[in-house]
Parts: sequence; C-alpha cells; structure tokens
Amino acid sequence: MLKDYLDFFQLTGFPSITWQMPVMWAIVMVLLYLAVYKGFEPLLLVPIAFGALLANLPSVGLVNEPIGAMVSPVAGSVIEMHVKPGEFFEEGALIAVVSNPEGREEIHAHARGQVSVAHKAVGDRVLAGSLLVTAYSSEPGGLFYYISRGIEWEIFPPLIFLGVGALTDFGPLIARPITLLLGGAAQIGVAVTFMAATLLGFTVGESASIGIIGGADGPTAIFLSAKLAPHLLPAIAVAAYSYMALVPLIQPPIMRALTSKQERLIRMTSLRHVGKLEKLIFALLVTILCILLVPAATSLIGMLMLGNFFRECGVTDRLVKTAQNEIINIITIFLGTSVGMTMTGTRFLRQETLLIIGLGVVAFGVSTASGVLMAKFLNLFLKKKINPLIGSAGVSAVPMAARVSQVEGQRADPNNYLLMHAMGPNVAGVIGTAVIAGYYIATVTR
Amino acid sequence: MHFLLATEPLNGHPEFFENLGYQTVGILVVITSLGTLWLCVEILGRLLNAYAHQAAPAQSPAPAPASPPSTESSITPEICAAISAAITNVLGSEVQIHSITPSPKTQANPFVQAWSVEGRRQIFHSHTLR
Repeated sequence: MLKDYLDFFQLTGFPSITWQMPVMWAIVMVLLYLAVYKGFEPLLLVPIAFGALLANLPSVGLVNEPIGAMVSPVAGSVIEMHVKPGEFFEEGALIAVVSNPEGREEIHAHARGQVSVAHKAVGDRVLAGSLLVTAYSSEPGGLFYYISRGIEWEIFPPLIFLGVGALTDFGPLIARPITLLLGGAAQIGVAVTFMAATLLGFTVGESASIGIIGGADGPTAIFLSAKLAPHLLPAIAVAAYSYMALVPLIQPPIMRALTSKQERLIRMTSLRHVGKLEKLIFALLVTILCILLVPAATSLIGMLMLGNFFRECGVTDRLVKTAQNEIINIITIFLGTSVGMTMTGTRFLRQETLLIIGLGVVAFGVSTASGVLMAKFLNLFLKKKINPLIGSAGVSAVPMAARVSQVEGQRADPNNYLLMHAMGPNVAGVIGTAVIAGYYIATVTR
Repeated sequence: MHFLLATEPLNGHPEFFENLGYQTVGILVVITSLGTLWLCVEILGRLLNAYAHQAAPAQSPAPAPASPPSTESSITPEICAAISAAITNVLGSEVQIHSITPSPKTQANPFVQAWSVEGRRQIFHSHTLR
C-alpha cells in the first residue's frame, strides 16, 4: 500500500517543482499585491500575474503544443533521426537530433502520435524552422497554446487599439494640433533607450523592443516585442505596464526640475469646439497619411482609427459599445493571461530582466523630459504659450499622463486646468509610438 | 550628414554613430508624420471655420445677455452662455447679468470640479444627442 501511495506521489505535480517556481510565485504575489491593494493597472496586472502563476505550476493541458509539424529550432545538420513514417511514438520520445557549432539540439515529441512524413534524413542540412517530421496525434494542444496565438500572430494588440480608438476623443488634439509635436518629441526617449540597450549588448531587435517601453503604450510594446524579440516579451510587458502605473511617481520630479515656477503658471486659452466633420476627416487623414509614411504600422494605426471613426460617425452605436466594452475586455483577459503564461521562471529569472526593468525607467524619464523640453522650445516661437507641463503627457499612458499634468499644474496654480490641454499630446503620443514602432519593424532585422 | 541617409536595415550590434544616424532618421520619420498631420489639421480647421462664419449670418441669432458679464477666469464662455440662456428663459430678456462667481463649494476643490467637467463631457460624448 505504501508503494502504491509513493507511486501516486510521483504522478502529482510536487516532483516537478523547480527552484525557479517558488521565486516566481513570490514575484506573482508582489504583482497581485500592487494590482489589488495599490491599484496599479489592475485590469492588466491581475491577468498577467495569474497567468504567470499558472505558467509556474506543473500544469497539464494548458500550454502544451499539439503534435503536427516538428521543426528544427536551430540551423545545422541532422545527426540522428529516431522515427520512420508510420511509426508510433510516446510523449517525450526523442524524434531527432540536430548539431551545429554551438552544440546539439534534441527534438522531443510533446504528445504521443504517429509519424506521417519524415522530411529530413541523417546528414541533411537544416535551417532554423525547417520541417523535420510531420505527425498525427489525436491529442490537441493546451488551451493557452491556442489563445496565445493571438500574441504570436499579432492579433490582440491591434484589437486592443480598436477599443482604444473607440474610447479616445481626439477633439483636444484637433483643437490645438501643434501638440502633435509634443507626442512626437516624447519618442526621443524610445530612441535613446534603444541606443542604451544596444550599448549594453542587446541586439537591435531586442533594443527596439526595450526602447518602446518609453512610448508607455502596452499594446504597441507587446506588438513590437512579439515581432522582434519574443523571448523578451514577458519582461517587457511587465516593465511597460508597471511603469505606466508608476507614471504619477516617475514624471513629477522630472517635470518640476525642467520648468520654472513662471512656466508652470502659464494658463492656456480655452480649446475651440471641434465638430463631427472635422473629427471624421481627422480619422481618415491619420489613417491615410501614417500608413503611406509607415506601412508597417498599418495594423495598429488602421484599427485605432477604425475604432475612432466608429465613435465619431454617430451611426454605429452598437459597434462603438462593443469595441469600447466587450472586445477590449475580452482581449485584455486573453492578452494579459497569455503574456503571463510566457513568464516561466527559466525565461524570466535572468540578468537581462533586471536590465530591461532598469532601462524602462530610463525610457520613461527621457520621454517625459523630451516632451517638456519640446514644449519649452515651441514657446520660443508661439504667441499663445503652451504650459510645458503638458509636454510630459506626450508619453502615451492615456489618461494617466494627462492627469499628472493637471495635478502638477494645479500645484502651481489651483485654478489652472490643464487636463483637456494635456489630452492633446497624450493621444498624439499613441500615434507617435505606433509610427516609431512601424519604423522599427520595417527597418530592424530580427 | 550622410548618416541621415542610412536606409539599410539595422542588424546585429551596430556602431554608435551608425545607431545614432538610424535613430535620428526614426525621430525625423515620427516628426514628419505628426508635423504633416499638424499642418493638415490646421488648414482643415481654418477652412471649416471660414465656412462656418460664412454660413452663420443666414441663421437667426440666439438671445444673448445685453452686456458681457464680468466673470471669474475659471468660467468658460460655454458656461457663461448656458447661464445666460437659463436666466433669460426664467426671468426674461430685460435682465442684465453683471457678474458670475463660482460657488465656494466647487472653488474649494478645483481638481474635483475639473473631473466633474471631464465626466460630463464624456457622458455627453457617449450619447447620441438628437
């Protein structure tokens, strides 16, 4: 009986616990604490943290890949092939071995199945991603294997942008379009962090993904990382969303350091009324112009402005409500948990995660400073001065960064209302981040 | 300035100046995109504004206060117009408004007032008013 009991123990998850798992549980608890008790971006941090918890348990049927095409993970030569067409294999069976100058890579079966076709033989040369064996199995992949395709195939971020577009009023930006330049200037933080990451030894694809944290736009950060550095996605997503929640702590000291008391007291004139026609033309204009200039940003800009056109046209109420609520909520759950699922201990507990988190602060800081300095620069030429405090809202983080401008403005003058003025650069930052992400996608090789 | 013309894809670990040139081009792309948008929106706004001014004399003007009241700076022209309309409706057009002062309650916490205004704006934006 004792033997049966011990045999059963071997079937439980306890023998599969590794040292990384408890460490990740502690990190999950910190994230949950920040989300639940401190209110740090709870809509995203809760699914991310819970997904990370599931990823760091010896789960079954959650993330396992289905049997189908087995590919070589590296370039090299096939030195062993252990299966033939028609043969059956068990879960975990060694299928093939590929050798390259850096060592040997073993390809194991994720589930039991039968070989349909062996595409390579011993001695054949293969590239990373080359098909080795096609197999059949009645066992499907895990739930999140399929859901996380939404990140890998870059479906979720553009759908989030559809909802963001349906929620965003571009009126303040249209009323004072010069604030578009503040949203553009904030992208300097992205570029500076890109360069800093390259100097620290990251590849250009990784550096672009790290730099985009400075854009303070979660979906764009995930979109770019999934394309250029998927192995860094968990660290980048956690850094991006954590720092977005920390905007009220990161930005004010920089804003105060770069502005004088007199500049903080500047009152801006009321924004003019922006009509429906103007908003509709703006949505079409942004779509056409940005896609012509940066075609790689099409899926982000296109969906953002589609959502906004729904909102402004006034004849698609049901679609607007769906985009603003159901779509964005469902996708947020899937996106958050899928990102969390990538936070396995072996991927997350690395020195580079600390570097990414450090570089994230640099990105936010430089983006904030660039926006403020651009506002001061524009004031040299403008008759109607801009309060430089709204420059910091050029980092996206809608509407958190605009709120920070409002609070800082009222610290200097309790009767100064900067909120609506800050919404201009704030939404311009969303467009600017999507444009620079498109530039990186088009010009950086992974 | 030749680095500004670097159009080849960046890969691996680029040299500092190659990277600097690449980033400069990236920022120029962003500024060009947003700057062009700025110009287009500015022109569009002026055109629509000019068109609205041309169309305005054809419409019958709404009743307005006999003289512009002295107001606190936190009261926007829209609020002033709404108050004028309400008074005209209740007391008639013979009344003159001399000053408008925000209530001490809302003045006490201007941040709350700003959020109330923003909230009302969002509520009105989320409804189709007919």
